[in-house]
Amino acid sequence: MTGAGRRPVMVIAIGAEFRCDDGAGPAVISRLRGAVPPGVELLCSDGEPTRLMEAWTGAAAAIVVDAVRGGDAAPGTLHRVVVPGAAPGEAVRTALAEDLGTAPDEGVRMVPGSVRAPASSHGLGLGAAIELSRTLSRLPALLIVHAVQGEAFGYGQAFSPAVAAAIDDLTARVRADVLSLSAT
Amino acid sequence: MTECDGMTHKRERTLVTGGIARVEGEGSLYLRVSGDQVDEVRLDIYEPPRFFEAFLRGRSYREPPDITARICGICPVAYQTSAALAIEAACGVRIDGPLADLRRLLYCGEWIASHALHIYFLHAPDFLGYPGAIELARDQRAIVERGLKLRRAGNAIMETIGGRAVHPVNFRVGGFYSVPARADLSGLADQLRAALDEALETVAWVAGFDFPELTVEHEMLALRQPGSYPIESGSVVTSGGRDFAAAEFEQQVIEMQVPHSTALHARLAGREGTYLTGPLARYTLNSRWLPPGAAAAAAAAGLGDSCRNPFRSIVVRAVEVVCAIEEAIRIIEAYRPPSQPSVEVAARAATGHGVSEAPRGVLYHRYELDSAGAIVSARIIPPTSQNQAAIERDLRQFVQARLELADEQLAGQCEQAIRNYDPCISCATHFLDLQVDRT
Repeated sequence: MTGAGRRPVMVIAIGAEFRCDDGAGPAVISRLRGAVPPGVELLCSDGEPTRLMEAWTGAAAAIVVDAVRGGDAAPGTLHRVVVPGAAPGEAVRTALAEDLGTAPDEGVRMVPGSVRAPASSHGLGLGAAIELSRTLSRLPALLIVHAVQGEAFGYGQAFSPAVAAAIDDLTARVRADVLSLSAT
Repeated sequence: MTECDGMTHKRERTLVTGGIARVEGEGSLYLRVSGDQVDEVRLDIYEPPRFFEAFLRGRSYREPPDITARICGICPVAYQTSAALAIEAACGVRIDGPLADLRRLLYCGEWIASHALHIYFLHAPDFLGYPGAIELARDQRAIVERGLKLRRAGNAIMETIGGRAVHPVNFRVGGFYSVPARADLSGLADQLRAALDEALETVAWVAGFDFPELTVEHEMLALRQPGSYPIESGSVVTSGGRDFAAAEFEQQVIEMQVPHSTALHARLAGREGTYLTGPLARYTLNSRWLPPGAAAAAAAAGLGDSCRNPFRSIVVRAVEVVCAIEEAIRIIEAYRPPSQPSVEVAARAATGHGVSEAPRGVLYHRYELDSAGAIVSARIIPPTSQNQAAIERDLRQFVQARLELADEQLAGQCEQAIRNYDPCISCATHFLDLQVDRT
């Protein structure tokens, strides 16, 4: 995937480390440091779409790690969604929704974010980042979203038991994708 | 409950419009309408700063800039600056010279990035009839690319001075961990000079939008730094003639519980009416201090000396982007590195207060320290919670004039009206539901 002139594989964690399960993504990044091939970029993001878009612009492939809520999945359930760069927007939303076990029109709860216009400057979300990137031709050729189903999003740094138990597995799955993408 | 015109039975409709959930948090707008009267408008905002106040107790006096920066990913520099000013005041230290200039420069970066995000990705689509920035980008790609360039210019300042754009790591009580050499800033200056043209184009672009009529009568509250547009410090002034230092903030601004909200509302002491902080207030109280390019752009945009239409806040923000870029270029051109990246701030048992102009308005911090520098108590009053009562009042006025609209249209227009204030979701609310009850 690392064609000439392109940035390599990158892993972007979305989440707030002071919001319990929302810190799952940053925790995975901490575990990946030193455990991925040289050149793989690891970074944490607050998920603001233009920053996400700037982060993955030019990357051959990007892996996003996040915590989600909503749907019927049990806390600690791991999701993996492949977002092809060329797919139309609605198809992506549907794919995300189907994978996470929610209806497409439940986009607000499907992933932390929505394509609806929010009332605040902070809430555009991952879905909007993907759509905006596609519109502006900044979507990586391959984007993989890894998510853990969270249940505690209050203030604090402690994971819920289910998410705490899932972090190592989540890390291993992300790392497996990183190694696979880096080898091609 | 009263009957509507010609209606023979009670009619009750409930509309819930989902906003955005990044993580936890609850916020909602509730409207109750009886016949042709708006009975009640409640904006419920949940406030993370209250949690941080408790979280800070017992921590070292050196930590608040880094801890409170985490309250908001959009305006971390505001939190860092108000925190540092308060702690430095408690310790009897005042930062000046190049270190103060660098703080202003860093803060300019935050203004540019925050305002560009709001103007292009949230507010402009409302005026142009698009559901959001994605649809705007599909039709007018070059416009959105211009917004991204502006945002990048702001982020570049934050990365150069603060170490990174999100939650800058180079900021500390007393100054910075390291400061740039003059040569480090030359590329940034070039980028900003290019961005200045884009900022001026932005003012001309938004000035051409159609703005709904709405004039608000709130007392305006902003900082003032005589001789310059207020950003990183200043005294607090109001359109009603108040002028007070940060240390008097809690005597002048009274917070009060309201039954419907976990958040505190604020009012000015001795005054029953509402007050407003943010771009409209800053501009109305300080337009005379705009740098030349921003002042000319404001005049060309037809703003006049003051602005009391919240819908025109997009023009004010665009003017403030010009202002921040001009200021950033001025600071860089005059910059001489300080001899030390920070000054020593020794702890002492005292209380300090700090205010600065976050993109959304005045942000107040207070810290009480013990002799070892541990935080005994902390108080953070963010702009969005200060504006809650004013937003409710404006929405009441706004809705009253639009009761003929169907719920869905009304919901959409209310969301647009709320966006006028650029409410800070991380500082105030993460989720907005809108409920309209008509009887």
